[in-house]
Amino acid sequence: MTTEITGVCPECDAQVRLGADAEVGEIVTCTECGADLEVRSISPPRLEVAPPEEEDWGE
Amino acid sequence: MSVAVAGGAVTAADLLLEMLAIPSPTGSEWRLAAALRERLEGLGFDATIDPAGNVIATWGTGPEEVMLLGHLDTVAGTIAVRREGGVIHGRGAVDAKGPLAAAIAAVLGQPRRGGTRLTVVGCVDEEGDSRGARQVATRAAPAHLIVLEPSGWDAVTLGYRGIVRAELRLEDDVRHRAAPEATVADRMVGTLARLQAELAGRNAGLSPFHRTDLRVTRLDVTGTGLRETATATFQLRLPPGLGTAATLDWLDARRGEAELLVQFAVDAVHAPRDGRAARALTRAIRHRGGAARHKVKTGTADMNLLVPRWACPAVAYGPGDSHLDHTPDEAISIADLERGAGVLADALAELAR
Repeated sequence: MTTEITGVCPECDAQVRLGADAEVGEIVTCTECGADLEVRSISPPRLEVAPPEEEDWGE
Repeated sequence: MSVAVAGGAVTAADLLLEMLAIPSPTGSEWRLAAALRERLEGLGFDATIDPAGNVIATWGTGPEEVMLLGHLDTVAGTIAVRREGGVIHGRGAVDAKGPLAAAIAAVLGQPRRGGTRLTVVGCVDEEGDSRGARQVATRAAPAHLIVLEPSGWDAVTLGYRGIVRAELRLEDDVRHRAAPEATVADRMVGTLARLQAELAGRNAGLSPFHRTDLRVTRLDVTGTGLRETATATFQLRLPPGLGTAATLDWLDARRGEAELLVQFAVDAVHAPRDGRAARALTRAIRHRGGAARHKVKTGTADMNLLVPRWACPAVAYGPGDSHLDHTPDEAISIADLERGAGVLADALAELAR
């Protein structure tokens, strides 16, 4: 049986479900407030607001 | 990354050098398309050329399709093709034969039996009006789309701004240049300046990806002696949330007496950071020691045209520094090319699970 891992959204305190194969560094989206969150640790689960997307030019 | 094939092994660098040896500026891709189709057949793909001249190469027969879509054409300009000190130089090395070569090498390493069918597409006319992508858009939507454009081996591109390419034309009687009335050229310059000033106000405080920029690419006045016409060709780059329809209404309301001729228009695209393809690529980058950055770009790519048609998850990925696109210094590090092929291979394996 797979145990569900959840972390707490630092923006809105919602419980955010992480995949069973979640890894440190992965980005998840809070289903409550839409914030992009980075998985900083799995055990215990810890989420932080993800660094913003980089802007670049090209194509 | 070297992949064993019948008759030896092939690397992304080998494939790239072969493609660079055949110049393929927009409109003259047919020679490369024919050679690539034959090469891919030889490597075990089921490869064809579609009515637009795109190369479509399929690997496996599974029901779920993952499409890797790049382009065959390059901008103009000859750069001597050479391999020097771990770097491959040539027009298209970055934009975008390098990413296409990396994808072909990545697919060669995947099992052909299984639930996934991998389709590699080499489009024509990406640097033009996306004639190739329009043809591809008539196909059924894939489950996942990876657009092969240079993000850097350790980054994934999630979005591009939209674009409207158009012309304003203003025709009137020729006036004496000492007369008090403004010429058609004066009036055209005034119209463009008003448009740019309005956008500058709207853009205040916004980051480049979220700005709406109007760039004039050509200004011309022609005449018969009795009548004269001022023509301005321009591009409007559009952020997410500002659609082409609203933009054309905005232009129409401000064009005055000028005629507006729209050449090309696509909306912005912006994929979520936790979509399956984005996640597979970022995990693969991290596993190979990269920081896995996420980017959005102020330009436009075939992704803009295909995502609205297919409504499928899509991202852009490819090794290479896009700051070298279209420059006389276009070149790609072989180490980055091979790392990019490895990332794509790992991501494809994850998407197939």
